[in-house]
Amino acid sequence: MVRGLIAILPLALGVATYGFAFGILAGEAGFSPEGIAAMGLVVFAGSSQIAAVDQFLTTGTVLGAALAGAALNLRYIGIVATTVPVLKEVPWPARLIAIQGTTDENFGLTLAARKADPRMGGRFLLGTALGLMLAWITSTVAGGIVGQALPGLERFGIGFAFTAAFIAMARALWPGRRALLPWAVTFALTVLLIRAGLPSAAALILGALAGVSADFATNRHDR
Amino acid sequence: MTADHWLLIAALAASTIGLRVLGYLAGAALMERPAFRRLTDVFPGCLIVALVASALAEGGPPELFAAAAALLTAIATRNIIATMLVGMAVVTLTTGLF
Repeated sequence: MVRGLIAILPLALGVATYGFAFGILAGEAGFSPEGIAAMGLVVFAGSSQIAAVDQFLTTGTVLGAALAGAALNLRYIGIVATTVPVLKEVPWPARLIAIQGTTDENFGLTLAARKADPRMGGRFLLGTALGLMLAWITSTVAGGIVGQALPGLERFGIGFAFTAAFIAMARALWPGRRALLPWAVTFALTVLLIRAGLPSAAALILGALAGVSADFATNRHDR
Repeated sequence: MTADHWLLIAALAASTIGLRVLGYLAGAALMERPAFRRLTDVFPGCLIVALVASALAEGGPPELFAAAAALLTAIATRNIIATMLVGMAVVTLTTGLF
């Protein structure tokens, strides 16, 4: 477990940096430090929390914000499924923490560590999960305290920080040219629907569904 | 914090924990279905693009310039913090111009 905790440190530092930025924005959106800590613990999904708080801030509606956050979490089905053999090595209470603590950052690291040394498994994953949770919760709460203490950060383009974060996430998720059409369809339709006066939460979901449909219509399911 | 803030946290927690546990219990079987695998693969990317699109649809020229600068930074550095800082800097600097 300690080895996992040490191995995750460099990634945890990166996570803490954008966790701090997210905390500032969550503070501006009216979340108290206690609320930010609770969200970090029970949700523990960076991109989903960012998307949901962004939608909550711009639309003020819970349903749209929750749907946007939930849709991004679909990928956890695949991520957790990949780590099942590793998870089964730890007893139940710890396994639940490891399931909740499995993210994009540590599942790849754990599988790579296991390839190099088969003794690295469930306990290693648990160590990485605890390290990431600690980094995420403390950094987001610290950001939230700063966000509350320094209102009016919008002047420094902080409102655009979310959009820029989504652009960076899109770059990380870019799977190659096969995404060109689905992403273009999504972008164009979302803009059109919002310009037509549709609430942005509805436009988001419809735009993304249209992109998925375009992908299904044009790409063979051969993977 | 209002009741809506707590409601959002509860809804997000239910969906994340639910999907993670579903992945543990049934993920392997679900991932054997090509269409489902495709959906979990493609939908998050499209949703992120939709989030960018919605922000730009409601923004003005400063946001467009900042998005272009952020995209170039993301492609060049693959670093989320650098992308955020460049985007924020460009939107702040260009807001006075329009």
